[in-house]
Amino acid sequence: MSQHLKSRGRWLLLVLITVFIGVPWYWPEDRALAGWLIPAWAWVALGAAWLLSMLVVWGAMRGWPDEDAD
Amino acid sequence: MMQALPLAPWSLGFVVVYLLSLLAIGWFARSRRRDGTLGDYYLGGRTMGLWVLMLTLFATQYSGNALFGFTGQAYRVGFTWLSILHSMIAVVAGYLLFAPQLHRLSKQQQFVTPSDYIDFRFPSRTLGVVVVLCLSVVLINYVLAQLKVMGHVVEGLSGGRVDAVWGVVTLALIMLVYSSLGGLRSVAWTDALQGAMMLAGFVLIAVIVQRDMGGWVPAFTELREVAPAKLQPPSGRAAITWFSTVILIGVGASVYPQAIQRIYAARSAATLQKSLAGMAILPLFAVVVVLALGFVAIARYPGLEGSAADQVMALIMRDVLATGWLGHAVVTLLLGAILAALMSTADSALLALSSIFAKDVYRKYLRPDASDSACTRAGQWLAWGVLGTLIWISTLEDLTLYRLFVLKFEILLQIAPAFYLGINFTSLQSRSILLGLCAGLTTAIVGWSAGVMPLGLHPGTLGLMANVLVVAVSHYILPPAQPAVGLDQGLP
Repeated sequence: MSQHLKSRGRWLLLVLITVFIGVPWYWPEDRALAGWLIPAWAWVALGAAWLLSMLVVWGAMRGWPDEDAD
Repeated sequence: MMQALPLAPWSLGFVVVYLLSLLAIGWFARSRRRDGTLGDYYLGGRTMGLWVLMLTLFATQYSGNALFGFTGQAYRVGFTWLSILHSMIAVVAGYLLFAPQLHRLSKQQQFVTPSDYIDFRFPSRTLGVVVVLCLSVVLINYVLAQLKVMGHVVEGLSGGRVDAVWGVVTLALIMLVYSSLGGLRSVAWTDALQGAMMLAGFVLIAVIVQRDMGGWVPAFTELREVAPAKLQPPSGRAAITWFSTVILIGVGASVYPQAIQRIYAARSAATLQKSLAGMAILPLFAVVVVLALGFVAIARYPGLEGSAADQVMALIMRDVLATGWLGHAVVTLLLGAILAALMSTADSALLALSSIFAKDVYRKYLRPDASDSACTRAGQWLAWGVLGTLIWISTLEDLTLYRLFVLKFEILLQIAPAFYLGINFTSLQSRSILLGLCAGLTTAIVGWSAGVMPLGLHPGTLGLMANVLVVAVSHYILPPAQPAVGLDQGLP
């Protein structure tokens, strides 16, 4: 169990970091609208969402060995 | 009222056929019922397969709010509403922290309602009552929100010829009939149909905007010129709100009572995990299209304020209709999907409410010796009574969709520690969870009533912080009062 918690803790940390990457609080005001089609900060947020999605897929699919058996 | 749409008779015919097909699904689901047990009726016999599970989870998370509320909010606040994309993915991240263990536990202990887990893990009558009350309030709120939108949609579909109340009554009646016939089987199968229609509609409407409505690139270029303020990144306070939204929805939506029941209903852990993996990808398509529509509407339909912005989706559909036969077909499909989204979300919530009444109230407090069939019947009667009352209330309320949407999360979020912490921390005791729940609820409800967001944090998020703090402090300060129920006694 403790191993599961440690493993899940590391995974959760990655999730939280990715969520923080998506929050554009750090973006400089004078460059707010720079970027193709939509502002660059929005591209970063979308990229972080994609990364988050892939991370969650990975988290879901790697399984929990001692919980797979029904 | 939703904008009247100039629909062709065959479009309305499609909607009628779709509604009749729901009844047919209900009859078919009834024939597949195996016995009269609560698990068979409320959890579909715990045999839900991969695709149905994934689509029903999708349909449960994406209700009328996703189509009207999300586009409306994107229109109102602009690009800072991108946070909803992260939030909907965070919901699945949240599931991964407790769903696999909860699923296995539910198979072992034959859970039917979310409260079954609470009663097993935290054997406290007071906690059980508080949780049942919270879940009931949330579910009633959920159904009410769907009914409100149903009225608008029916009025719009009929060009105002059908009154909202009669539209709601008709749809609610169909919903009650098929869900009463087949229980979760009917609901999940209609959800799967709805999920597929909604996804197809999103893809097609994106194609139509590109092909027949001037294209996405010119639309976003115009947006930059017309409303640059809506493209600004969030300021310091708004950035905190962004993070708070991810927590509020990500954690709150993962403990929807109807979603918890789908975790119980999964055929196997492998099925559940694959479904969750699929759920993590779907927002990248569904939410992005909905947001993009809301953003381009800022330049296309300027001047909509407050709840009028919730009409954005209807305005877009009106323009898509004007593009020709393909536009007509897409709007017809989307209208079917919208009706289905509203009905499937409402029926899921109503079924969950019915199960909570049947198992956690009727059997526990009113008739402990009642058979499963008697409990199911009691739950069905409650569903009919609650729905009748809510139809009446839905004609009185005057809140925007988003406000309704948020209100339920403020409460739901406070139940999350019982699942997240209860599953993962074996020594946690009932009174810590109860104290935390009370602290969280008080903070959230007081904050919501006062309409304040200190530092940009939602009252629900503040409540969750207070909740977890009280749980942690009481756990370490108070002496053990009872042997802990947990991993050693059944939790995996």
